[in-house]
Amino acid sequence: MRAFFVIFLFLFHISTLAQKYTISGYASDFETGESIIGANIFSNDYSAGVSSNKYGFYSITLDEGVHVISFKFIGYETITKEFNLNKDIEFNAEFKLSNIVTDEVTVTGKANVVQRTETSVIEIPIQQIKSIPALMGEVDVLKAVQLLPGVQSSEGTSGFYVRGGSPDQNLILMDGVPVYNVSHIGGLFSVFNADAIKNVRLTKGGFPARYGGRLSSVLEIDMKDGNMKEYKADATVGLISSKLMIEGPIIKDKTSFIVAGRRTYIDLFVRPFMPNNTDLTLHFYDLNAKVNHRFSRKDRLFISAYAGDDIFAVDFTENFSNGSGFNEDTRLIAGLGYGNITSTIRWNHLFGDKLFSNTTLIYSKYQFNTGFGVESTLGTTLGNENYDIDFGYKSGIEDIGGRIDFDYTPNPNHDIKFGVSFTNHNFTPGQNDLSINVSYPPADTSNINISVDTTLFFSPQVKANEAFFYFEDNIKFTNRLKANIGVHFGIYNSLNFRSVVNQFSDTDISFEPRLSVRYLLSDTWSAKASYAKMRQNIHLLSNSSVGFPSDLWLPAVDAAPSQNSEQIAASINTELLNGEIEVSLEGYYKTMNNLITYEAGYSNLQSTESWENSIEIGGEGESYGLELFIQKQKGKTTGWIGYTLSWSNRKFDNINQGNWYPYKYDRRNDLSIVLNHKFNDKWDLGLTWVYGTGNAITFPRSTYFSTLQSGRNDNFYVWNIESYGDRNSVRLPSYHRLDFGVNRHSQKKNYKGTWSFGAYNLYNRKNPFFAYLAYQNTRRVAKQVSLFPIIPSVSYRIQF
Amino acid sequence: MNNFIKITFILSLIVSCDLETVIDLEIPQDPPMIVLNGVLDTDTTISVIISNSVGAFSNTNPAFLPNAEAFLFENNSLVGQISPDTDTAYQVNVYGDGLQITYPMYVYKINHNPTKNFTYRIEVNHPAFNETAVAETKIPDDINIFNIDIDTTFDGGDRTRLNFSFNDDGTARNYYRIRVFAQCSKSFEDEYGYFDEYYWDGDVDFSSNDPSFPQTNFFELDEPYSFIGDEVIFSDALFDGQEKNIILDIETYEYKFSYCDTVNIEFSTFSEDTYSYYTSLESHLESGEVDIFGGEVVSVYTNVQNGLGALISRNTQIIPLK
Repeated sequence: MRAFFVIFLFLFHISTLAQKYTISGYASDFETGESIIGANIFSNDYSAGVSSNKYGFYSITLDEGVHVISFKFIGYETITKEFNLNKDIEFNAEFKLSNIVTDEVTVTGKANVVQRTETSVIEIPIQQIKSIPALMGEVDVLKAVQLLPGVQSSEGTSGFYVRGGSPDQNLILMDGVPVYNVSHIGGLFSVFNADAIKNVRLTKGGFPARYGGRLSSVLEIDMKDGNMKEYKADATVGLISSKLMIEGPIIKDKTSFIVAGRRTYIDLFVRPFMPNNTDLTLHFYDLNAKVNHRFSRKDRLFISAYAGDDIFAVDFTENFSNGSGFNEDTRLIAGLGYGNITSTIRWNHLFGDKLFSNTTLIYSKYQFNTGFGVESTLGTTLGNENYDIDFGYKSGIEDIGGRIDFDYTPNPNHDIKFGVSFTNHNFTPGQNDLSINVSYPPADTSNINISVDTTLFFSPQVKANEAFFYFEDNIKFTNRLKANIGVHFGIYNSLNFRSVVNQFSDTDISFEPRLSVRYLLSDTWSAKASYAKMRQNIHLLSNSSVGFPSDLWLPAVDAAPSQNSEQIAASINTELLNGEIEVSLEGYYKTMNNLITYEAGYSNLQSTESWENSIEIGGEGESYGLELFIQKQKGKTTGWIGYTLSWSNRKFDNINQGNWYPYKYDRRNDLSIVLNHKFNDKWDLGLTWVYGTGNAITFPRSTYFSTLQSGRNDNFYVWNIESYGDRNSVRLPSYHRLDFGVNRHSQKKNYKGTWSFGAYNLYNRKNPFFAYLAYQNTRRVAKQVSLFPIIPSVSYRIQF
Repeated sequence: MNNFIKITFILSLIVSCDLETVIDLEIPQDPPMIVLNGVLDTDTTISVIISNSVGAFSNTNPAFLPNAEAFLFENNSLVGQISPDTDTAYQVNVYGDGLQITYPMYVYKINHNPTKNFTYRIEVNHPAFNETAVAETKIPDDINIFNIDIDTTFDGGDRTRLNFSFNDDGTARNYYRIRVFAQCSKSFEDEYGYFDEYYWDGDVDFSSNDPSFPQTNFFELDEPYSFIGDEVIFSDALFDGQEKNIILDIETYEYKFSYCDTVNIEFSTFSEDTYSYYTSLESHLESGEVDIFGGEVVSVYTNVQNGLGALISRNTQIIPLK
């Protein structure tokens, strides 16, 4: 550790000897004022460069003298400007869309894969996501992420599995706030409305020190800031939902807003066909809102919020009368709802020209509720008997926290980031409430009234505090050698409210070193390597058959301590055809420990055990593989090919007799081909083909008799037992499908309209969703359920 | 264009209304294997059942194997051949998913009682199978029960309270099972004056708040017990190497207890194999078959090499209640 700091200070010192001045400012879109993330700013004569951060801020410090600085972002015209550096200079780079490139499909504008220090990072611009054919025409950020190498998924779910990790090991941040449930309708769609999103970035390994709290990936989703120049609207009418986004300036170039909403309307279609005595509610909605204000060059405030819910409810009433004094009024209500609320306040502040800070306050809440109730009134000759029975279940998690991040660029050879974060988690692991009220008429003396209001199977609320400090430096050692070196210190403790006296369990401190190294082999080839140690202080208990919104988020406690991982990755990267095509081949090896899972046989929908008594702990995991990513970024035809060859295994003492077994999402081969072609201004086409090895499942392989049991009256019996072999030793059939989409654009006087037609699963492949046992002519057979046949879609989008 | 849009819209609605399709699935099956099952107890002669497994989707059911060769080894020394007792056929009910059949089953026997702390191995050959199935188990040690107290007046006489103690062996993980077992035969006169003979031979419910017992009472909120059941299997995890006191409350108003002349407590010590087998069998039966809503299935413990089944052991002591 000491040697690390000595080397760092030495390198830092020798790079700061000469008289230097700083050019700093913000990179933004000329037409909308949206900040541009990752624009390249470099000195032509100094061969030094920096990138704008996620708020568009950059700072480049150079020797005194005249410098020609280029500001570059793919898809935009390059800005080249000469600066006479004899003092610090402010310059805001406002990028104009390139006339040349606007005729093409803009795919990405980031530093290319050869130059970047980071490994295992993929960014997908929202324009690219919108051009990918989507299920029912509903553009979906997470479905696009699932097409990337190293990311596995399952039909009909929004969850994703990165490099052998489970879904809870993905930190999904929307404007810096963790989002715990990312699914609508059990996973058919994600909660992210693409119309409100600016940028999507997935980090699978080589995590910089600023990230922590999850083992497998960080998915950053940045909302648009809102147009600073003029009002804009974007509306889409689709088969199952409609969307509306409005953005514009409140004070031009100072304050802007964006509001985006989406709602499905299946229930509105179905309702006219429902009986009069039945009311159905079945929909989801999302609402995104954001306001930002520039107080000055040095201060800017962002306030953003998201709310989304899935609501399913049935309200049924029935009246009965026999005409001789007896009548019955009954009302049955059953409902299920779940959703997130997130909000954040972020304050950007500049301390001088080199030190940028961002202070963030966050709030995030996920809650799952389900329940049913019966209200019944029986009219008898003695009077009314009233029955009121309600049963409810709820679980969830609520976070309140804050963090401060600093970005310090003393010179082009160092980009230092450091900061501190604190989060208070409040877990509700599951609670069943029962209320029974039965009352009889006073004249009925043979019965007594009953009133019960109780909580059954209560897993107590648990609070946990999580804090971390990080420091990282992106160091340029030579023109060829760059490294991102960092450390992440985590502190964690949980407060357990089970006892009357709150008890602090032992505070857990973690030290997580991080390292990424890039070496330029030539102008077009680079080699990279990374190491990251990660710790995760929360768990997700998920039924292993299928993911439900009822899956439980839980804190690390003594009985189920924090999960850990270590990952090494190495890649070779190149660009072809003058940078039009990027190619990377990356290998990784990841180990995990302290994993948890439900005990075999446990179903959270059927069992009454508390979670602590229902889990296997101390699980180990390992995953390794190779990922090939070929991406074409420019031209009329764009897209990517992602191929993953991987292995992912798990080991628990009490599962599979303590032997290693394949993880459910162990997928040997996984291939995605994503293509977009723009024919002209009116027509463009999208095609996606995916292939994946079938999921690993546990299924009966033979049957046999149990030991002899003696029953009543000297009856003997045996059980016919299923032999399953090793856990997950059976493979479902492979998964593949072709999606197709075509867009027709028309530019009218006051608006731009786009018709989108598409088909999901074009060749109607019966992909497996799950398998089960059935009987056919008294013979037992295995059956497979497939969710989606070919599904055509159509939508109309209007922008003005 | 308008027609295309209309057709697309209508088609989408139609297919969206019924997205789920079901098709047959080819799943690989295991070939048949020898299945060896036996529970060795110190108070009975050794007997086992030898049968065969079948593929999970086979047209046939598992069956008793009458012509197997089985050999018994005690502490690695050959005791002798275990032979099928074809004179005595047990009419055995076979229960399983979609299956409830009764057919005769024969038991392989040898006139030899197991001895505590001895290890027994059984090897089975059969001409239809290439490999020898082998399993072994160690008979648990005796356990000394003391301070037995039976209070028949507990809870106003509605329950009998049994209180007893034993010393747990601290050198190993130990497993125990308690059952309350009743046997009786009574005649009752029905409302028409006829007499019905009633036979009972089975388990009786009991209750306890012992922390080593699993919690089973979730619904009977007015019953002040964490465990209610007719059999409990538990380990010494909470009292390893200590003197353990057990309190059981047995319902006496229930006919199985009140009408039976003989009611015994069976207190058994299990080998680890036995504990693993019974607990996994219970979970296996509870969890049911592969089901999207049912959680992960549970495999039943087997200690038979080159085969399936379980050769397990126990050491049982009886505490008479009536």
